[in-house]
Amino acid sequence: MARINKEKKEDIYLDEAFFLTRSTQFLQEEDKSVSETKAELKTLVTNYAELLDQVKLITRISDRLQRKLDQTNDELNNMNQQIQEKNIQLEKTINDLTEAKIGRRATTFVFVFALALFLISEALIEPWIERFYNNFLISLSIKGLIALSIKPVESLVERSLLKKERARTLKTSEIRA
Amino acid sequence: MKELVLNGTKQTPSVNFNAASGMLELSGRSIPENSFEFYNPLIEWLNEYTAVALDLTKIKVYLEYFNTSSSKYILEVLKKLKEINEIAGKEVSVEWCYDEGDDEMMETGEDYEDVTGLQFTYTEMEE
Repeated sequence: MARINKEKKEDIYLDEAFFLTRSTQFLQEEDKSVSETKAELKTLVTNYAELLDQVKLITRISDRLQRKLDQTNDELNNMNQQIQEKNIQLEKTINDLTEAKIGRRATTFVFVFALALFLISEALIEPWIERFYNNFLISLSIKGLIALSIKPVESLVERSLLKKERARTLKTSEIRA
Repeated sequence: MKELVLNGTKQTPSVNFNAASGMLELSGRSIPENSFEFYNPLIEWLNEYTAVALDLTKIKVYLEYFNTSSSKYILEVLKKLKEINEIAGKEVSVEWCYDEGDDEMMETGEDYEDVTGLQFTYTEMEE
């Protein structure tokens, strides 16, 4: 019962429903005069015309609102796509910048490493070779090996720093989320 | 007669119906969960107002968006005003405001004007 009342209360076509019920009841009644029938028909036609006007108006408005919503939806989708594209670009730029920063750091590290190797080579290895082998070719080969080890060390350092930086970024974004 | 003032929400428009000045205002967004509940007090207020209406009643409608059931009740509000105009013989003017570039809302106003036969003026609001 409460549900029926609620439905009735929320029915936006209460007046129209009232006139329909009235006309239905009129149809069920017998012995109605021509003038009474005409009067009832007149009321029904007036209400029908009014309802038709309303239906036309509401349909036009609804279609227009639907179109407006569709346009807004399209605009939102476009904006979303643009944001995604910008996000990818931004991510790429950040990655490039991080790699450049890490590359510089790795180069500095390798420079210090090479300097240390040079000093070790001159101070310890060179005298040791001269003492035990005294051979120019062996000395050149060992120095060549040391020089060749610099590039792999640089790559190793760069990879390790990048890994650390990515882990740090991930942790920061997890904390923010 | 008491004023009818309702503050707008995300779903319902703000209402300011002033019988003393004959100025009525309806603005905002109208997508109430229960349109009957929201608009019935407005219709009842207008029923009372019909008896004491001033020579000139102005209604300003500035709606950003409204749902289908609201469109039916807006028509009811305008029809009440038409009654004031036709039965009570008082002048009624409708100022239909819409956001800049919102041609759909302006056309909607024109539709209401056609159906109600009330005198409408259109104002494009700058954003």
